[in-house]
Amino acid sequence: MDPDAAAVQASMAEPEQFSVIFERHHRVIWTYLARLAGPDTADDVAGEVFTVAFGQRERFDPDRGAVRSWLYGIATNILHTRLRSEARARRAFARAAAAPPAIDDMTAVDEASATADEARRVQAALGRLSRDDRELIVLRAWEQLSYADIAETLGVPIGTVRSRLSRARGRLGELLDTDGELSENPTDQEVL
Amino acid sequence: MDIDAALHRARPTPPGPDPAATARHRAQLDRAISPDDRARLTDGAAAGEPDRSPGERHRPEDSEMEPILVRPWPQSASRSTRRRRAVLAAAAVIALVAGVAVAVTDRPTDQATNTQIAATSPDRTNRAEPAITGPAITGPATAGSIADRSDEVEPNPSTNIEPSVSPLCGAEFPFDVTYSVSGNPVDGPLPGFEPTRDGQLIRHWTGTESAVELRWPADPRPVEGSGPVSGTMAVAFDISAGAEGIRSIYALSESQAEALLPEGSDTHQDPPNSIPPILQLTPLDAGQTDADIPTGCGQLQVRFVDPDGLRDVLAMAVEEFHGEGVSVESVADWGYLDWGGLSPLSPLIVDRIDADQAPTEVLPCEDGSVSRTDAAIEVAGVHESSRAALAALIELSRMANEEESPAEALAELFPDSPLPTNLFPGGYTEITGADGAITYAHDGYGSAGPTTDGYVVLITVVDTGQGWAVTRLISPGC
Repeated sequence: MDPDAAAVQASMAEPEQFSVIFERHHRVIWTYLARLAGPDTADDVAGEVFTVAFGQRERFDPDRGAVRSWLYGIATNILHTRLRSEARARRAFARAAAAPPAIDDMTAVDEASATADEARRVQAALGRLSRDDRELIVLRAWEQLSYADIAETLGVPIGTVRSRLSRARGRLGELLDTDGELSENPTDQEVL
Repeated sequence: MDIDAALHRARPTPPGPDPAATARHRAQLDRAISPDDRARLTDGAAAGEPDRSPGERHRPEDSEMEPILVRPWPQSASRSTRRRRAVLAAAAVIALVAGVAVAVTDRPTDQATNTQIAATSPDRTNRAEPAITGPAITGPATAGSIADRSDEVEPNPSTNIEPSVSPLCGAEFPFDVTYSVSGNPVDGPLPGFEPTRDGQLIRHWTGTESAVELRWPADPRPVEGSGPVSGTMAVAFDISAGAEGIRSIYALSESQAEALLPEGSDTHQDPPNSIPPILQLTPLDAGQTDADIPTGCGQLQVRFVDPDGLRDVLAMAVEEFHGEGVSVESVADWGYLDWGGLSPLSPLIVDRIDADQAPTEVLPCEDGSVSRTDAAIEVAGVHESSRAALAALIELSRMANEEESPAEALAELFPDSPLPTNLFPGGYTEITGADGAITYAHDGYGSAGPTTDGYVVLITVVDTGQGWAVTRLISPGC
């Protein structure tokens, strides 16, 4: 059995076993929340993700998905509750986007500047997507979840994930086009 | 530009959680794990309240999140709503009288006597718990706040319950109730929703943005088609029969609902692990069966109320909440709500803007068609699937013609029955025109603010001199 699932199962008899889940996944979930809504919101919400998960661990079915997907889903739902409207989610994402992207130490200064500039444009375009579209792309491109994991996270069929992702990616491309960053390779649209 | 590569390069690298926050999160979990503190934790976590150290104040960034504040729950009833409720109340009285008559003639002597006493003898000496509603509830209640919640059930502070009557079904619900987005429970009905039966057990929970009320037994009125159906975004309230008999209500998006309730299937699937229930009912006695439920008490009523107080949604009545399994038909009895809405319920109006900020045409269907319902000018041209329903709705609004505000006129447009395609029960942007007319626009998502893409519904409300009325509705009808 998957170690995470085993820990959840063990926590049924020994609740303290659930601490393993916290130790393994807290930082990942916090980072996901921070990417979508900023570090402050992540600080507020990440703890709740694990207490909610603990309270609902009886309902966790390992045959239906991994613990990490389960936690991503709870985090997403809590964010929906906290940042109810699109506008709030958009503003929170804009704050989150202020965090600098990763730049290799060896990258030349001008290249780093260009990368940062491009990152700002991409993040701005992401910020203009609908919340649902943005979450999909973040889960796929930044959290690097599989289609199956995203399906479990969002509670939708895997086919829906594929079609929505394709649509979201198309919209992102249009926004980048509008922003002067025309995608030069149309086949890019099918990669995600 | 390679979008994938650009996305990768744009991937933010947050610095990681603050150690103090991590410690706080760990402490939250430890309290959940520790049985001694579990109740305290559950109260805070279930309501979505961030765990704060003692003395920690509300932080500025929280303004983007759930505000923690105390505010009175708005009184909801417009004149026509009050009129409708009066009719319902009258119907309830008739039903109650009929029910009492049936009870007297059909039930065992002791139960019939109790029912009769509860309905007709308010001054009897056998006082029940305050949660049991009597006939003399007066005055509006004030919404509880997240900030001042406690673990104990509190009496509604401004609800005068006197005299008490014996419970029709029980002094406590036969299950623990966990509501995910609100504060502590308060005995008694939500303001504006008087009990329709003496002896009903009524309790409500209020959050900053929504409220839920349970009453047992349900009001004596039909529950079919109780939830408005949104054409593109829907929520299914599902009662799941888990192994432990736990009944849970979930808020599902349309695609989620489709996945769980496949067309033609007679069974529903359990929601994914990642979707937490909005409302969860856990039987106090795992061995309890329907046979343990008193006669006439098989219906539990759940009411969700949105924050602007203009609308209420009678979600469902549970026919057999100890039954094994729930069919699609039973799930449908829960009704459907706009996703933007349940957790918490979406306000009817999410934003207000000037006309020069908004497009005036709706997005067409794929074939370029647009349906138009304008009762004052024309009815023809409306999409076949929704022509009659839309025309009837607008005609009802025009006939009423007495709403005190544009928002009330909009609210009155939505019946308890399922809505036509592309008409949404919430999430409208109010657009004020230069001529004073108000247009309510919906972009299909319920987003606030101007839209660049266009709207999918435009509803015009005008002041007729006698009140506000809907005069025009334009929708693609697809």
